[in-house]
Amino acid sequence: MGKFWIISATFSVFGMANVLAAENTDSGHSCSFPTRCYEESECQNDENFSVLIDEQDGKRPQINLPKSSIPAIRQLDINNPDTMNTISYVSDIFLNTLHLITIHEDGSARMSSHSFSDAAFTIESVGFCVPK
Amino acid sequence: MLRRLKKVTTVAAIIATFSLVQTAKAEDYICTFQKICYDGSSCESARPLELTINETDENRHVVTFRNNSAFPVMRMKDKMPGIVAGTEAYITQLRNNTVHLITIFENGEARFSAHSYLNGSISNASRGHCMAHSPV
Repeated sequence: MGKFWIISATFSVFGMANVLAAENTDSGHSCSFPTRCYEESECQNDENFSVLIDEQDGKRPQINLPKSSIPAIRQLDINNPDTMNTISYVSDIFLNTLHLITIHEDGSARMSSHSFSDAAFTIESVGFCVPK
Repeated sequence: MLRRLKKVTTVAAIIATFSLVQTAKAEDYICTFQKICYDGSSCESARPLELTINETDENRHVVTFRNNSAFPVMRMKDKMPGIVAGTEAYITQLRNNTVHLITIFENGEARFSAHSYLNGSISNASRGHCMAHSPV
C-alpha cells in the first residue's frame, strides 16, 4: 500500500471536526455484495454484483457501480481510535438515488441504496470489500 | 424627499430579503418509520421509529431520536432530479462504527438505513414518511 497520510479538517457541513483521509496513490476498495434485498421482499443472491471504490489524490472518491460512477464523500470513524478502520462512503444524489457503503475492519460491508421509481424503495446489500 | 423614499425602499428590500431567508430555513421534518428490516432478512413492525430533523440557527442540521439522542447530520440535495425533484438526504457522522442515512422524497416517502458493527456487521432499513413542519 502506498504512502498514506491523514488530513484532519473541519467538516464544516457537520459543524464539527471530522477526519478525512486521502492517499497519494490510486487506491480504494473492491467490493462484492452477493446478497441484495429489495424492500421487504426476499433477498436475492447475485454473485456478480461488484462495486469499485476509486480514490485518487486530490479527487473525490468515486463509487463505480455496474452502470454508473458517482462521486462520494468518505468518512472515517471520529469517535473511537480503535475502530479507525471503519470507513463509510455516501454518494451524491443523482436521479433520486444515493448509496451508502460502510466497510468494517474485518472487510465485512453493507450497502444501502435509496431510490424512487413509482415509489420510494430501498435495496440493502450484504457483502465484503478488500483494499485495491 | 426622494432620498428619504430611497432609504425606506432600501430598508424594505433588506427586510424582505431577510424574511425570504427565514422562510427558506423553515423546513424541518417529523419522520415516522413503521417497519424495520434487519440485515435484509427479517422485518418486523416494532414500535415505530420516530425522529425529527431540525435546522439550527447556524444553518446546520440535527436529527433527534425519540430518546432525545441527537446527532449532527449533513444535508444532501439531488444534483440531477430524475422522476421526482427535491430528493434530499441526511447522513450522520460515522461514530462508533455506526452511521445513519435518511432519504426524503418529494411525496414525503422516506427511507432510513443504519449500518453498525457489534459481533459482526449489521444493518437495518426502515420505510416511513416525513412531514415538513415549521419550527415554533
